[in-house]
Amino acid sequence: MNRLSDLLSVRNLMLHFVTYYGVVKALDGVSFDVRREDVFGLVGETGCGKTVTSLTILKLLPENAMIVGGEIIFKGENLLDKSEEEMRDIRGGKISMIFQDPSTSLNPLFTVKDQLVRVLLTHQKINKEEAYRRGINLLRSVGLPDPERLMGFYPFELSGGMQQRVMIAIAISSNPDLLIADEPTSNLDVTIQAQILDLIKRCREETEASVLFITHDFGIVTEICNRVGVMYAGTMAEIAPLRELLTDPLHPYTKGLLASIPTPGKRGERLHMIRGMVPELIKPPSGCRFHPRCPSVMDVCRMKSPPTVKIGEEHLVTCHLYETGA
Amino acid sequence: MARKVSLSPSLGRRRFSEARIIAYVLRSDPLSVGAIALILLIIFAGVLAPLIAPYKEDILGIPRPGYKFLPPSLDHLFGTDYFGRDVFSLVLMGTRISLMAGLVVVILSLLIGCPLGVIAGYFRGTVVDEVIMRVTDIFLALPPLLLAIVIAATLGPGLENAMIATAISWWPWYTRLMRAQAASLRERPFVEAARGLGVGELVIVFRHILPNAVAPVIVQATMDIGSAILLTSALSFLGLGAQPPTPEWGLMVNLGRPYIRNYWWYATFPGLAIFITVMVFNVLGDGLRKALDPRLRIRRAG
Amino acid sequence: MKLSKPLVEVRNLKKYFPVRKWLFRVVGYVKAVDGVDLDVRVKSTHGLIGESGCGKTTLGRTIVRLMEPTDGKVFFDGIEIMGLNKKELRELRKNMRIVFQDPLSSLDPRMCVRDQIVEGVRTHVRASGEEIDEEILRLLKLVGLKEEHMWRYPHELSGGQNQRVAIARAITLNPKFVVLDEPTSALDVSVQAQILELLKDLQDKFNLSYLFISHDLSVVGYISDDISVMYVGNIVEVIDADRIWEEALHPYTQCLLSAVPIAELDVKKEEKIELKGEVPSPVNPPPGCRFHPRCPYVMDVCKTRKPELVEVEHKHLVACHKAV
Repeated sequence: MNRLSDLLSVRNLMLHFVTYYGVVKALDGVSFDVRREDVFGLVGETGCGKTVTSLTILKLLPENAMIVGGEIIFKGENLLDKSEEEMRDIRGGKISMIFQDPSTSLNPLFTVKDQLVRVLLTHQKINKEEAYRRGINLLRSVGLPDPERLMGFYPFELSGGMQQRVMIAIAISSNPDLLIADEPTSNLDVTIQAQILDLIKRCREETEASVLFITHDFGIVTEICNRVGVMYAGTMAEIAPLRELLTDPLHPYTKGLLASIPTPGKRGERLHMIRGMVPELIKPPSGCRFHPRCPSVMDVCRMKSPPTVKIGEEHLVTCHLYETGA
Repeated sequence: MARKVSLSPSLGRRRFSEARIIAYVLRSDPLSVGAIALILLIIFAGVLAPLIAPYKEDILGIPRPGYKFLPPSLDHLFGTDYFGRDVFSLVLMGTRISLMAGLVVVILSLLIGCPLGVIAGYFRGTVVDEVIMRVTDIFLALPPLLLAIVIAATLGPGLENAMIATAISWWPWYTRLMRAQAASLRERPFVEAARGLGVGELVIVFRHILPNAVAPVIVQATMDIGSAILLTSALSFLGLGAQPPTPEWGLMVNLGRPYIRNYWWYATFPGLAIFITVMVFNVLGDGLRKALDPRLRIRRAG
Repeated sequence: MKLSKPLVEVRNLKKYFPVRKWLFRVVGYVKAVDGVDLDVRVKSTHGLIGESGCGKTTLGRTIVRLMEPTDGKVFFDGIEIMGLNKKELRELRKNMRIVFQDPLSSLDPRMCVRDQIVEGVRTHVRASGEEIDEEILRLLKLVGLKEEHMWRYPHELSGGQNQRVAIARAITLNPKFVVLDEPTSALDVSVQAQILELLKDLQDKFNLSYLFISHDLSVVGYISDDISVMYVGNIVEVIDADRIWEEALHPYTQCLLSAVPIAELDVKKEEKIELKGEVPSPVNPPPGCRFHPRCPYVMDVCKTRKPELVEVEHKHLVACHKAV
């Protein structure tokens, strides 16, 4: 792995939430790298920790969250060491985020102009007129027609797709190195989703930013990502380039998950069903968190946490089945 | 179409019940704890009054001339009244009356108000709803105390009549609350599902809507016990409620009023009793409202 | 190919919602369902696909008369159901059921699982406590739940388990037809697989007919026998599910197909058709063909004349001037 091309390195991240019910062990040693020009897909089902991971990178966690271990290296520096002031500089600057529901992440009380111009002024040393001009260009570049008129609109006057485009415009306004997209299309219709995914791909190509794309939808991953990390219950089960993951999944969870997705090619066949349910994380299963549901479970899986093994050039899997020298 | 991506990691299937969450939050709020403790104390006092009161025969109103207007002392903690009766015993016995009055009023109001409200809410927009709500509005437009006075005056003096009067001026608030709840519940999928199964409308109202609508009303009712006590005491104070020799707090305040300069203990202690009781229910109400605050839920789940 | 007579026939169904200003003046109508024809055959799954606002949810509810239609007819087993009185309608409900999208909110939060299912039975049939318990256990087993789940409350169960309860409730008294309104949209992928397979099993065992409503083309394409595509209140295409990927004719269907992300590599998809513009509002739909402002193949006639749904080949209907 070429260290120089790593833009973001998450190493062994461990995160707990303190709640009235007990301590939720949300992340249990998550590691992955996002390289330059990557569109890295972070996939998993509800509760696997993918959104939490992205919020940890930007340190946007609620008060009861405790980072218990690990590091997040961004362009050579550990983000976990940074102060809140330094993080504020980075957020919207070098690292931008697009959220799932644009209608709640855009402030309903301010017009598009107010929000876009404010972001531009925050991160760049320009005056208001220049910020307005750049804003218009940004809106045009994300495919919004008639940007001058749009500037005067309030978010609720725009459709979901248009709101999301505004969000993307705001996110790319400072030319970030890393764009984190957290389920940006889940609330959108399929045809609009296709437009937004195209837009994100285009942004990636034109601005040379890397994208960390979080989703539960493997179809989207196939459309847009070049590398994929599969998360399960707070752990990183498998990381691989897209093609390799789809043709040769190694982790039993990945295999089960891919086999359970309905696709046109599977008509007439039975879908695979992973038995059991996602565990709760206050008392997670011992050893490998997937072991109660794993069809290939072994004794060691119940007792010890599985190691991360590198198979081939680019493929990492966290599973006892691939443990060397076992 | 919306896929729920929750910030909180999945807590699995163990969702702790509402009651436990409320209990937890209340426990950690010192004011609420104090309020609950005091309420329990008051209830105990009321329940055990016949056993604790040193001079419980005094409620019968038999005068004891030699003991008239004694100041508070070890023998008579709250002093004695015009008839020489022990004020402490009277206040204690009055606790039962006030608590009972508060409870009865609230329960009566619920019995009238809830079914009306639920029916109005479910049949929102129809004639039934309009009729019920207009009647409710009429009652709501009149100040509760005034209405209670008028009704009590019409029915004649007496504690029972005071309770009825208070209940009559109280039920509209619950109807309104229930109606709002019912109207929103009516749109919920599980109500549609019941209709889809072929369940009759009135059955839906009482089997599905009422139990689900009742929770905030119960909370409100609990807090209202204090206000109900205040209202009945007010009526007694005005002479429309309990009559002598009943040891009702409001009545005692009224009787002690002329003597407040020289024999302050006669009116003050019952007045304090009212004050403390009502305040303690209000504080509990605040605590409950805080505990039910949806914003706190985000904290709970992390 | 099933050539059975349709169990459910929908003819020219319309559902309009009045738009009121100032509580009394009606200024227009939301034409949620605007003349829909649909057939569902015995022991088959008819998929209904469309994006938000197309009216598919309204259509589902109107077919089972959870909403009263503005116009049109629905025939169930030959009987016209729009004219039934209250008592007859109640009888009908034994045969037509509906399952909703969000399992948690479609169950009464204060009733335990047993009572939720019992309601489906007790509403129509008198039975002793023992008979009912037996029936409940049988149903729970059928949907993959255990006896201990009988006494649980919805908030104690997972989404998948709740949906199983909803399905158990729906199949009490052996209905013939079940409307499934986005039954798996709120569930995780692995749970979705379980529920889809369960639905297939139940269909096999009990000869059920399904109307499967969804916005997710992958799921509908997987489970349906034939598919209707809906756009702003109208059906624009009806085609067999195994032919839709290759032989779809309506431009909107083609756009949908090209836009859907598929979790398979090297899937041969149509050239990505850039769909411009936004979905029109059902209050004032465009004249002529409703899709014409966004259609890449728009012709003059499309702007004025609304295309009819016609059969272009065996069991393939399209409403499009270009395709015909």
